[in-house]
Amino acid sequence: MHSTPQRADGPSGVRRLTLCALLTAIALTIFMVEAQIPLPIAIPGIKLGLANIITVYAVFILSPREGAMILTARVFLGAVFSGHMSTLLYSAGGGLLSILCLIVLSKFLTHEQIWLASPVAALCHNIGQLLVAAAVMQTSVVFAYLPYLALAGVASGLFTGLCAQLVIKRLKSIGVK
Amino acid sequence: MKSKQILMALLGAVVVLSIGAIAMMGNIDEMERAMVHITVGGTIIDQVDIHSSTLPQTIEITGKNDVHNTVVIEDGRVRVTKADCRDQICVGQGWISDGTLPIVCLPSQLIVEIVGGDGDALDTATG
Repeated sequence: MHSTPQRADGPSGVRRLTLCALLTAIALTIFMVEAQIPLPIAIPGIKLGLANIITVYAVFILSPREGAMILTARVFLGAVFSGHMSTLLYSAGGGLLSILCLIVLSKFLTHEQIWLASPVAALCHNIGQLLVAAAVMQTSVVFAYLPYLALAGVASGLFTGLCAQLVIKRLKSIGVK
Repeated sequence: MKSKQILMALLGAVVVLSIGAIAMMGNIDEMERAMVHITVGGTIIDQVDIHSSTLPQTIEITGKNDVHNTVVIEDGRVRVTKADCRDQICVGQGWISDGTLPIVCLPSQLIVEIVGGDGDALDTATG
């Protein structure tokens, strides 16, 4: 039960690099599978965001830096593999704001409160998304979506947060980190 | 423990505000739904809410070339009932109730169209 991650030095640096690559691959897989799930809601920008289980895990258990790297790789590769390059800008805007939020939250939330960080980060993601949309379309009308996105964000964020909490608990119990 | 309570309060507030905002926007949406725009020679001369409580309403229009049209707006639909030109195409078109096709009278350069709301049937269909 180590609550502080060991630093990446010497031989463990390779281990960490491998771990990051593995987590990126898992996140990307979740992202691609999720993209195949149809949602009954026709509002653009709403999704489950299951891949963020990995982001939350990485930021809290590894380090903010590694979490940010995994998220960057996943967002970029996700846009490449899903063929929706046009959404990259929105994902990047949302991702940037939400990872900053996660990193700040990771400074003062304990490992038992991780599930709370995810919905807050999801909200930041929605705001980032809409800021980009407003800049791209040169209109602030897009902010009319905010209440819908916020509701969906809190709900899906809670879900992914609880998932991340569960993952961390299970991994701890089998001795991984 | 304290940060937990602050975050939970924040999330609760966001949820409540969102629901409130959605409820309010629903009302605005209702009010801004479907307007009838009456245009002569490219300038809008009248705008009427198609679900306004003052309906039915009859509007007399003197268009270009001294052609007169009578537009009748009822709840949810609009038509041209009279035109003192020879072809009577606008009268023959009858009622329209969505934005798919406007009523046009060429001699008087009159256009009667429904804008916004659920009325943009074509926009929805064509995405």
